[in-house]
Parts: sequence; C-alpha cells; structure tokens
Amino acid sequence: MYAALTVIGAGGICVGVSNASSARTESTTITSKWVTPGKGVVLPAKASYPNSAGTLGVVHERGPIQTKGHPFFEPLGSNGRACVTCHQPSDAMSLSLDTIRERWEATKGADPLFDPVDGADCPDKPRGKRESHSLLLNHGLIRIAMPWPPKDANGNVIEPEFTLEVVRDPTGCNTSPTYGLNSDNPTVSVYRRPRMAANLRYVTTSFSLSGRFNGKTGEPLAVHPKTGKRVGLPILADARQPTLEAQAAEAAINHMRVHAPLTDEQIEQIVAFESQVYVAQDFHIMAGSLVEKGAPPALGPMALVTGESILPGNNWTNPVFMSFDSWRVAPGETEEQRKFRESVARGYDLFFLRPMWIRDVAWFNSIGMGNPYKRTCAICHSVHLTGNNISPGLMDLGVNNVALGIDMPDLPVFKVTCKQDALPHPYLGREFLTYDPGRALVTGKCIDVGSLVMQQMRGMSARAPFFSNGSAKTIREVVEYYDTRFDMKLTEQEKQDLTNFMSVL
Amino acid sequence: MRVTTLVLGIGLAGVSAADTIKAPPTQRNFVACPVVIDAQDVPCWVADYEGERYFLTVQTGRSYGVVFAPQLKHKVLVEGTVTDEPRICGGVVLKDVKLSVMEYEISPECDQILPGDAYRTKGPRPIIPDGDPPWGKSTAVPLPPDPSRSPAAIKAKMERMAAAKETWEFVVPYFFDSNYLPFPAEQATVDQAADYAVMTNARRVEVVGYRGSVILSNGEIMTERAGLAEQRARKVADILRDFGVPDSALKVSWKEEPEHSGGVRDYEKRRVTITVIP
Ligand code: HEC
Ligand code: HEC
Repeated sequence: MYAALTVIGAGGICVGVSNASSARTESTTITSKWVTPGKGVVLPAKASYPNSAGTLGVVHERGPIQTKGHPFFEPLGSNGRACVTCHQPSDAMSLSLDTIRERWEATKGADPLFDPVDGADCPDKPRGKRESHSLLLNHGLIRIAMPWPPKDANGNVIEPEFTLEVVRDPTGCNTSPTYGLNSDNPTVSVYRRPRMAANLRYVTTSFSLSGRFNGKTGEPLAVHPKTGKRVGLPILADARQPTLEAQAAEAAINHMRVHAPLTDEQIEQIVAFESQVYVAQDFHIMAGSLVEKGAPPALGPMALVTGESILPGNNWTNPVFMSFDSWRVAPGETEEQRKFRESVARGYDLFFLRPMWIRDVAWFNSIGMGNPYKRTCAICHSVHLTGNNISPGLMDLGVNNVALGIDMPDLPVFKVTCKQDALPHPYLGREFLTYDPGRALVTGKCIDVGSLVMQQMRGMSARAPFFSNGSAKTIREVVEYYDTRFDMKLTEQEKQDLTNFMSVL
Repeated sequence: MRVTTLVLGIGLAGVSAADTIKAPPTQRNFVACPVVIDAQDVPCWVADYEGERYFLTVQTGRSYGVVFAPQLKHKVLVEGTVTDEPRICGGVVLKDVKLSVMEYEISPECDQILPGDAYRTKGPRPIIPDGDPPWGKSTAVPLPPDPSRSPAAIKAKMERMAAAKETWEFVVPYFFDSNYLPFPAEQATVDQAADYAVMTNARRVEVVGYRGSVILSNGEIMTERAGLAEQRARKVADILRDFGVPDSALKVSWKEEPEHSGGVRDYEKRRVTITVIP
C-alpha cells in the first residue's frame, strides 16, 4: 500500500515511495517528474507520479533502476534523446500532451524531444517555432516516415495494390520535394502517438490462436530470430516490427539518430527493462486509493506484476478487468467517493456486458464473425488485465478513416485507390480517404488500409490523448466516439460511468 | 518446385447461362443481400429469394467458424438444400448450407437489420462474454465436440499413418471466389499436411489448385475468377514451404478448367488438394 504519496513543492515534485511487501519505506525525491536523458537518477522500485486524476503507480519488478549508463535512458545518438524522452514513467511509459507542452514551455522548445527529425511537422521546418511542431504540440503526435512502396522482410519491393494521392497536406511533408511521396526517397509521413513501453508481458507474445498462422489473415506468422518461435503482431500501430528487439533497433535509428546500430547487449538491456516495468493508476482524486484492501483486484500496478499474462478475458473465468463487485455498493469515506466508486463499477458492467452492433470493422467483422456482430467492448479489448487484443489485434476500427474517424483537420489526408483486381477494403471499397493507411503501409494490401494494432487500456489518466492519431483528446471523447460509431445510444449517466471506469485503470 | 501447368491472366468471376444442367428442385443456390434479424439471445441471418425467406445461420463467432456469417455491405452466395425442419427466424432451414461473402464487390444496399423480438435463437456464443455468468446459465448452446478434431486423435492418426508410410490426401475447401484460409478448420488442415510431410520426411508433396463454378437456381452458371486455381495452389505451397516442407519435395500444379457437381455440393470443387507421399 502506498502510504506517503506525492508532495508537490516549488522546486518540483517529490515522489514518496513505500514498499508494500516489507513495509520498509524509502523515499526518493525527484526534482522534476520529467526523467532527463543521461541525467543518471535511480528510479525507485515503486513510485507514484501525479496526474490530473490522481497518481500513477510505477513498479520495477526487480528493484530500483539505475539509469546511469542504461541504454533506455542514455542519449545514444546525436540528438540528445533517449527512449525515455518519449516513454516517461510519469506518463505510463508513453507521453501525454500535457507533458509535451510543459517541456516546450520549460525549455522554450530546446528539449531534444523537439528534434525536427520526427518531433516537427516535417524535418525541414525551422526549429524553435511553435508552428513547426503543431502536431506534437496540439495532438501529441510524432512523425513516422514510411518508405513507399513498402519492402518485405528481405528488402524486396512489394508492389502495392493501391495508389496513394495526397489530397490535403497541412504539414507540407507529404508533398515536400525532399521528404514527400514524390521525392527521391518516396516517403509517406503519418503521425502517431507514442505507445506504452510498460506491462509488455501482456502485450508481446508468440501467442497465436492458430499456432503458426496469423489466425486473421490465414498467412504464416514471422519467426522470432532468437527463440525460433512464431511471433504475433502485437506492437506498434502497424506491427511493422515483430519483436521488441527489432522495435528498439528501429527506434534508435529513427528517433535518436544513432550513428551505429545498437549492440545486442544494449538491445537486451532495453528489452529487459521494458519487460519488468508495470504501470497503472494507483490513486484517484474521486475514488481514493485504488490499491487499498478491498479495492477491485485488477487495479494498481501490483495486479499486473502478479497477474497471469496472455489470458483471454472475454469470459467469466478470467474477466478482462476481474471484478468490481467490491465497489458495486461501495464503501467510501465520503458520499462523493462512494458515488464515484459505484459509477466505476457500473462503467465496467457497460464495458463487459453492454452489447452493441459492432460493424464495418475490417479484420474483425470480415473474418467470420459477420457484419454486424452484436457483442460488447470486451470482445475486442479482451486480454485479461490490459484490455488489448492479440489475436492478432490488427483491425480497422475506423479512426483513421476520414468518414468514420473524429475530424482531424491538422492531419494529412490520402486518397486511396485500389486496383480493380485487388480485394477491396471490405467496407470502404476501392476509393476512400484516410489519415493513416496503417498496416497497409507495410503490406501494400488494400484490405489492410486503416488497420491498426490497438493499445492496452492501462494508465489512461496519465497519457491523453487517445487513439493512434490522438484524435480523442480525453477519455470522454473515446466514449463519445464509440457512442456514435456503433450507435450505442448511451445515456449521459452511462457515458460518465464508462469514462470514470477507464480513468481508474 | 516443378510447375506443370501455366495459365496466365486474371479475370473476374463470370456468369453464363447453363444450357443443359439444372440444380435439383430442392436445391437453393442464389446470390442475395443478407439480412440480420435482432432475435432474442443471439441475432440470426436470413436472405430472401423469389418470395421466400431462408434461414442462413445464427451469429456464431469465428472460433465456432462452422458457418461463416454473412456481411452487410456485401451480397452472399447461398448454397443449400431445402428441408422441412421448423422455420428459424421465419426462414426455411437449409441443410448443408454454405455461405460465401461476395467480397470483390461492395453492395451498400445490403444494409438491413430487422427487429426480431418475436424470434428466439440459440447459438454457440452468447452476446455477452463466454461462460456462465454469476447470475445463472449462459444462453449459449455449445456445439457438440468433433472427436476427429481433438489434438490427441489427430496425433494418433498421424503416427499410425506415418508408421505405415501411407499416402494422405488433405482437402482444403474455399469460399466462392476466395483464396482465404479461415480459422480454424482450413488453417488446421494446411498445418496438419505440413506436419505430416515433415514428420514422414515426405518424398513428394503434391499440391493441386482448382476453381469451381456454381449452378444457380435461376439456371445461370457462376464461375470463379480466372487464375484462382493457380493462386490457391501457389499460396498453399508457399505456406507449406514456410512450415518446413522442402522445396525439392513440392510439386505444384493447378487446373484452370472450372468444375461443378451438377448444382449440389458444387462448393466441393473449390479446393486445393495436398497429397503427402511419404
Ligand atoms: C521521439 C519519440 C520516441 C522515442 C525517442 C522513442 N519512441 Fe518508442 N514509440 C514512439 C512512438 C510514436 C511509437 C508508436 C509508433 C507507431 O505506432 O508506429 C512508439 C512505440 C514504441 C513501442 C511499442 C509499444 C506498443 O505496445 O506498441 C515500444 C516498445 C517503444 N516505442 C520502445 C522504445 C524504445 C526502446 C526506444 C529507444 C530505443 C524508443 N521507444 C524511443 C515514440 C518514441
Ligand atoms: C471492433 C473492436 C472494438 C470494439 C468493439 C471496441 N474497441 Fe476500443 N479500440 C479498438 C481498436 C482497434 C482501437 C485502436 C484505435 C487506435 O489506436 O487508433 C481501440 C482503442 C480504444 C481506446 C484507446 C486506447 C488508447 O490508448 O489510445 C479505448 C480507451 C477504447 N478503445 C475503449 C473502448 C470501449 C470503452 C469500447 C466499448 C464501448 C470499445 N473500445 C470497443 C477496437 C475496439
């Protein structure tokens, strides 16, 4: 249990830490919740970091982390960034828009985070000007540059089944003669949110419902170069890298401007770090402690430390977020707290039990479920304790589609035209507009346009905005999206309940 | 790999009039918009053809992918035999029904969800999470287990046949006009073929692709896309190779000439055969 929590002082934030198992209390003062690359601090085994809804608990399973010399925390390349620049403990190992703005203010835009390579709307934008970083500062988005046409794992060019035309280019990057689609190195720039580098035991896996197959596409899965096992497609919005190792190597080159590829040892250390850090909200200003005795068992980071990974959770044996029964008729110190806890419990019921017509989701409705398919949020957000999807989780919910997504006037828009002999996108056809072709930037397939790997649902109060393109500014906007998208007809109370439920995860 | 046939060209599924052959009167082979009925317990799917309504399937979920449900925004090819069983969701029940979503075309007009309070249907999955909820029994009726699919039975059969060095022919069925290997059954078949080939260190693994046609109830013949036999064979061969079947053992061919079976079980002709010769 966290006894001492957070003290916010003039010079920064004090994080009080206590150790649950031994009742031994250590306390670490961090001058700022921002972990600066190369600074060399010790991250306590357990800490709580403030966010607008309370605090986020961060647990390092194998004890305190010495960041000095650690490849996740050292600026390994020439731009001063480390992995931690975009994966901050306080932000659930992702990076919230609030934090991005604080960094801008605190450093007048000089923080390595704002390296124009991908921290600006386009690398050719002048550094230090707000306008150059509009997508990062307004939506928390990092530029992801994908070669076009795509290449397969052996470096052979894949002939795409569709053409891409830039029909709107507010950042100028996709039409840039140097960086754009028609440049010497034809490149598609899409803009995505950093994802959580935590709780990854629940995310990365060689699990596949059908062994060697990608159960959805009916194609063989890639083989992990070290273990020789088949790997799912669990990470990155487009699953372009199959393993954490490959992802780290790519991140160092693309985000950190390293001169030489990371060594095997560095990669091993990074992956070991990522695999032992667990995060979840542990205190909520309305609900109070989320880890006290009697709190719902799925809450707090220790639930993830001790939990069993890769259990299907859309069932009554291992329900996604276990049980909120203890809050159903909630004990609470105040009437307000009691009411909030009851609202959270109702919100979980909605998530787990409220059927809706799920429709027009490629790689979901199109793989035998039928379109529409009447079930609940938990059919998709199904992994026990994290609510992601690894079956594999790629699907096109519609957030990147201009007609079905939340309006994002700041994002580029591509017109997709699929070849006549290709299978069309099952619900959008052969001609449509997208903000981000997603998986199709890797496979070149028309049916893959817009498909994404969903994220886990933990630490949400620490890392707004949501969806891979940042289009939902708040948890409430996520709820509004689903209400519209699947015509759920939620009442105001139900919307509030679902929002409250997700805010304590 | 030796390639024995080569037919070039990609084509669209074709429709032509059948001159002589007609499907038997009890057979219903037709293309229509599927309709969802919001029946109690689980939704069901029906389709209307020539003034009659036919029951297609209840909502299942792919782990129970015995029948793949239709999709709004697409027409569906229905192939089945009329029975006199009690109607379900107001529709005539078809025996041995096969449904193929017409995936190459988008049909926005297929967009109907009808209220269905008057109907009660049972499916292998409830619309809430699987298993029995705390307040009682699940509304789902699990499918009876298929003993031939039990991993132990498969393993035993494989060991028995391998010991006798028996030739084993695996048949992979397809939806109309499709090269998709769905989960679980079709993927499992290819999986097993690869396992058997590797286990027996097979001398030869013959992969033959076919395409089919369907004699529709209105007298037309609908034929799968040209080139599909080859695409099916090559794709299965690629997967077998990926799963460890040596190139030297693989013999890949296809039969471009479309086949049917006279209007009943035409779907059996849409297939790839994998013959593993130890
Ligand atoms: C400039 C910011 C930035 C830096 C620096 C950075 N990342 Fe990321 N990270 C991102 C973004 C953006 C994504 C999502 C990309 C996508 O979905 O295509 C991401 C995704 C990830 C993921 C995937 C998590 C999931 O569940 O899908 C992991 C793991 C990760 N990063 C680890 C690292 C590591 C390790 C490093 C250092 C070698 C690093 N990152 C450096 C921005 C960054
Ligand atoms: C058809 C499957 C499906 C259903 C049903 C579904 N989701 Fe999602 N959800 C997704 C996908 C895919 C994403 C990823 C979208 C993205 O990242 O752009 C997602 C993203 C999210 C996110 C954002 C996570 C983040 O970190 O950005 C939240 C929160 C969420 N869903 C909650 C819900 C709730 C609540 C419901 C029920 C009302 C629901 N989902 C129903 C597929 C689904």
